[in-house]
Amino acid sequence: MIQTRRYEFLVQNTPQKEWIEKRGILMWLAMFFIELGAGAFVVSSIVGNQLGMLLGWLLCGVLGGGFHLVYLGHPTRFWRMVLSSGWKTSWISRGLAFVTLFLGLGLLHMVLLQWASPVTGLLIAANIFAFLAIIYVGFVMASVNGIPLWNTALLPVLYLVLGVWGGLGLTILTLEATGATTIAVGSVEEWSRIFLVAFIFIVFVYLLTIRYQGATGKTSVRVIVAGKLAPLFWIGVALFGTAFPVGVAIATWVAGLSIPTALLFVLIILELLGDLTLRYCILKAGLYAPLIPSTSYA
Amino acid sequence: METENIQYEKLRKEREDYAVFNRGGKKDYWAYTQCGGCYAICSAKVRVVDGSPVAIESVPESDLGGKGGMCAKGVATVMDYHDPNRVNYPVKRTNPKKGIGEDPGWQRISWEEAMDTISKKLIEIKKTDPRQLLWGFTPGQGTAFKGTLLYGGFFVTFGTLNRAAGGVGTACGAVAHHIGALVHGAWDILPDYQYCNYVLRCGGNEGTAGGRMFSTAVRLSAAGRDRGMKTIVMDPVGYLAASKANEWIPILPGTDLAVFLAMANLIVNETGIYDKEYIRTKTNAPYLVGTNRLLVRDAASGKPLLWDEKDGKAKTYDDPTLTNPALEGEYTVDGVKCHPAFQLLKEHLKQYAPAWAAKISTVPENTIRRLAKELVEEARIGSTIEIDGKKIPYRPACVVGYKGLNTHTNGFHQYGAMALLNSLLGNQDVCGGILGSGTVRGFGYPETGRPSFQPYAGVDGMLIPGVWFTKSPWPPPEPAGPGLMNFTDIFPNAGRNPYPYCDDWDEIWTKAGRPYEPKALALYGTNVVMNGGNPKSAEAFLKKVPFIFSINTAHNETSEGFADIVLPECHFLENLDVASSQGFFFNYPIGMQKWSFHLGLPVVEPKYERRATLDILFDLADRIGIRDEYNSFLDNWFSTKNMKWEQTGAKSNQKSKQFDIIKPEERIRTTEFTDRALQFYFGKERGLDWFIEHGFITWDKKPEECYWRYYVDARIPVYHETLVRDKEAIRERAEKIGMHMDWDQYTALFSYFPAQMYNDASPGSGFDLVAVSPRDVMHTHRFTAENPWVDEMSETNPYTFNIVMNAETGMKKGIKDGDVICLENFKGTKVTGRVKLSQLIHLQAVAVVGLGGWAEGRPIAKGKGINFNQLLPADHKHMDPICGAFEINVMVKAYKVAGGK
Amino acid sequence: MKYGMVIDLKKCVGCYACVVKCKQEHFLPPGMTWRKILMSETGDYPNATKHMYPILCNHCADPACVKACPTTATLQSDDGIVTIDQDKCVGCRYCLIACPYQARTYNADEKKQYFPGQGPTDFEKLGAKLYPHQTGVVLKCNFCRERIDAGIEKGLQPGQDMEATPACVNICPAKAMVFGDLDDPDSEIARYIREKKAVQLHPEFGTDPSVYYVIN
Repeated sequence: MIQTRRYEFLVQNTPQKEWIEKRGILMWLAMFFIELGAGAFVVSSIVGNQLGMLLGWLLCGVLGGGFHLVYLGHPTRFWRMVLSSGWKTSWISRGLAFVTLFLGLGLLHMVLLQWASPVTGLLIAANIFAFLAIIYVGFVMASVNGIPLWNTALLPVLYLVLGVWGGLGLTILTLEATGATTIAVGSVEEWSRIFLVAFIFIVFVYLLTIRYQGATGKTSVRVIVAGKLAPLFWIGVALFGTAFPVGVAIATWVAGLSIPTALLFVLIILELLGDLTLRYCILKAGLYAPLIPSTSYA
Repeated sequence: METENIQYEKLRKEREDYAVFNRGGKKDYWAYTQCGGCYAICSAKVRVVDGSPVAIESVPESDLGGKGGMCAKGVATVMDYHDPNRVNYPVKRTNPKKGIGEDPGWQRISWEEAMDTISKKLIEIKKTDPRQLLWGFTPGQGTAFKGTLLYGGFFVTFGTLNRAAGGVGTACGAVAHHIGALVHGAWDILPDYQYCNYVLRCGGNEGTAGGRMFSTAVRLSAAGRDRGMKTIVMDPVGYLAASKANEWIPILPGTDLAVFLAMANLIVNETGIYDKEYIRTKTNAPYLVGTNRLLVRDAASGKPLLWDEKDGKAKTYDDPTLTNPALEGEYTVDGVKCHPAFQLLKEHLKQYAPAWAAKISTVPENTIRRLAKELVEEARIGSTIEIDGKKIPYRPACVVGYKGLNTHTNGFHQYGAMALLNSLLGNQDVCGGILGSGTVRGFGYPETGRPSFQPYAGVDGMLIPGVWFTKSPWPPPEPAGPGLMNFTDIFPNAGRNPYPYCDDWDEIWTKAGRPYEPKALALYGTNVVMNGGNPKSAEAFLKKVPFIFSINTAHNETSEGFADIVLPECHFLENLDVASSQGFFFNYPIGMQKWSFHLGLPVVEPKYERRATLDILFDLADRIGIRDEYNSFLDNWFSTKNMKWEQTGAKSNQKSKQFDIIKPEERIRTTEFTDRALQFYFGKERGLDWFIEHGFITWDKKPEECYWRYYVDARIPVYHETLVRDKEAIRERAEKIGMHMDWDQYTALFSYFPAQMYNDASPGSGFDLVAVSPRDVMHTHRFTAENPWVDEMSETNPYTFNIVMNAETGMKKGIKDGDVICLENFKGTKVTGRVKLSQLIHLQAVAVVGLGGWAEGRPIAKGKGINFNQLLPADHKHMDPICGAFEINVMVKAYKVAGGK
Repeated sequence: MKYGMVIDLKKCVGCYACVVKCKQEHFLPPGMTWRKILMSETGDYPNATKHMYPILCNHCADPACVKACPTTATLQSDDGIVTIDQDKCVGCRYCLIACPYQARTYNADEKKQYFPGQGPTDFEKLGAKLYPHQTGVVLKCNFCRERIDAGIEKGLQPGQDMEATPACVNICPAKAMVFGDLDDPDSEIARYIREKKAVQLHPEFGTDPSVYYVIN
């Protein structure tokens, strides 16, 4: 079913390697931090949490951008990705332009916020680009029509949900850390729960539709939910990322209590782990269909 | 040209000669040569930059090869040249221990010391008994003709016929070459791809993976397929030649004999449509056979008699009044009741029913009948075609095969039965049929008429090749000995066999009275530890030989484990070699493809202290004192006066005083010799200089050359009388020394005998699979495994490094694709490897490409693939009793030893 | 003008000559090939089929890789050949991921040698001079662009004259490949494709490959 030997390359379903194996692991981290950071910035800016905005900016620019740069074969040439005419067709070019613009405008806004007075449209502009920075990776991957697991409109939607959800989570953390009002936290918490539901729904729909997208798509999904990645998926994504938060949310709602801060921190970390694990599964299980007809003995 | 640092005088002079190859000191040039990637010796041209070969292709303007195209192994030879593990200097062994896997402790020595040591030993041996020297060559990496002709000729001149090359020939074409000689005057056969419409291919993969005339055969067969030529492949393996065929018929290995005999039966006794004219005039089928199963002979001349139906008389085969020799009937000659051999054949074939053959071979009866019918229909018996204004019989159908047919203990009968089918179709060496490969009748270059050669009629009017490279097959010598360590003196039809690398050699030699002991072994490449049966069998013998020297381009398992001295040979890209131009082996393109005479030329100056093969041999000959005779041998051969091993040396030429190329007393080197030979063939202006510039010479072939059958008055055997005649003499000698062969095989008509492997393990014993070893397209011998490009390609081919097993068979045994399994033979020998399940292999077969080396001098090859030959028992029971072919298949059981993935 | 290739699978015997020759012609590092031979089986014994497909970059008319490249290092020229400007390539490998035929390879800086531990051979050293490849970039078949360009300058015809034709096409002993201008209906390749009903591999990817196959 899946390539295990060199002579099965494109004869059995062939996993992509460049964006997950060896140095490719950095792409996994880059994608996560770029989206998480941008999401944290957007949410924090809406509730006016400056620490969150800064944290988001740093996660996106330094960690996300950093991992991406280190991954490149020629990091010193990175400027070509933004300054050439590649943006006409390339989602990476566009995406990194979005990230650059978000970082630039976002930084400007934060500086003005801190030491001067904010310019009205600036934050909106920064947030538009942050929003685009959250979803562009989804488009990068969705436009790869050779990998059925990625080749779906649901992927940008899923990544948007993940980015915002993660951003909500991080914002809660920074709010708690800066001792913000419970109302602010509460409303963010509420949105977080809404996005948790959205997350569960999208993941479910995503995996189900891919399962019907031909043999290779089916195999990719099988790898995730019942194959080599199953332990990772069911523990990381289902248990940590979904079951715990859902369980705690229901329990507290039934009991009418609010979640203690320490538990909240843990849950958010688990949710982020779930996010990270899901991204890993999607990258790792990305399979190319065999190019030629073949029997499989797997 | 750095000659100052070379201490050895002879080598220095040889390098000075090589100045002629420096191509004007150019830094970037293309140079002509011949490929040495295998024994097909296709044309080649090589790009050299800064003194390094960097690219190779074949010559587009030549018919020898792929017309620019060349197989992967050939292309990869550039990397062989650059292998840092190549032998660069003479070395001697410092570790006195010999054995498989022993570290030789190579120490560099001078050529002087090496040659002095070797020649002293050889002089000693020649004085006491030259037979104490054994020798072997390989048609391996660029060595094909240097082996048979230059190397073989040396030892024949020395006076020893103790050829000990292991699997060379015996695990290859021992029978095919013998019958090829008798039937086609040629070493091998190929379909006339340009005109053939229907090929039944059995046990051979030429044109896809097999090596014979590699790139030429690939090109011609691809064009044939494109033209609509139909191929049916009957083979246990379906993923090689069968994958390019119109139909694959799985067959149990080594049982083709049953199918062939059944088909012959159908053709002769049921349909009755066969080429009667051909049988009558071109075979010995009309020869009269008496009740003693010997030919009835004319009392005065001793020549075989035929019955002329025209005037009811018995006449000799060459009687000019012979008009209509009878094929059937019963006659009386001088009171002796006799029948034409064909009559006996007809009766004999009746016992081989298609249903019986189906049971043995697993080929359905309907299929056997259909094949016989189709062959006859497609052969268009009686038709003719005009080629270049000549009317040639047109028989566009044939049966072809090679190793899978003849490397069995029933190989003689199996390959012979295939030849019989072709004879019945009358398609041998006529247009569209099965051709001797390369073309064996040549009038020479039009301007000079040289080199010219042709098969001719000899004793009993039977066909004799014009050129031959091992023991001449006809007439067979009288059984003699035992006196040779390989016992080929006892077996007149065996040019080589697996001895002495067999488990029972010592025992048999003792029974033979141990007339002498092995004192030295001279190897040219020939990795005997790997190329024959179980390496331990070879080891047992090699340990008995006190002195072994080997001429190699790279070390191998045999040299490391057992050689005392290794001499560095030039890589073919550095080697001057006019022996490889001699086309009759495989490389003169078949059919109406043009004559293409290329030359093995150095494209670069040899590095370090490597020497051209012929120069090493000249040097040795000088020191031992056989140079005069060796010169004579070479002169006879290259001038075409006597192109056989059986020469009487200097004596034969001295009688005629005709020396065309080299005189006995001359001490010239390879460059001078080559120049003279070329000028002899093609004129004074076309010597070495001309060939360096132009690379090759080509001229049109005449239909009377490639389709020579009706232009040469000679017959081929359908009835092998000498097997009957010599049976008792052979049996007596062999039995006395404990060689209990299947003497029933010494019968004049091709008959059914099961291959020995089926006798080794009884049904129900658990050894239910037949292990076979087909050629892989990228590999030949074992040296290809050392090439890093070939190695990379092998990893991407599912069939190369794995054990291929039928999927259903595997699943029944609980074996999953990718599992590590063990193949164990009936003697308890085991090999392990990863399994590849396949739908393209017979239910009862497993296939392994024979690789699996351990030599330290071949680090890339080390540990790659599987050592299939380990499974092969080596003793007299596993040897074809007639031609000495080795039983190359073995019954095994298979079981999982570890999970895959 | 659109250069393309047709591979006649009836003639191809899967000898790997084209794969090795390409490595030789371009001095490719260990482990990298710009062509591959895919082998598989379908069906059931004894009526199974072996599939043997030499694959290479298809130089698609609507290439996914060119669209994906963020730096315009990968470009398509007017004659249809898709090339990579190694100086512009940043090594993001998006093109590699985007190609549904997986025709590209990343040249990691792993300092591999053909005879590991024994130093680079003269061949490898010459390769660094004659046909250098940067590490940290993506590489692929370029239809032997340099042969075509040099040949055209000499007045030779790519596909007809061997010197101006891709090395793989020349080296095939079965003569299974034809190279030429797909846009010229009278060219040998256009006629071959028409007469033998050659097809593209997986046209549903929508990239309009310029490599066609005559299926066995």
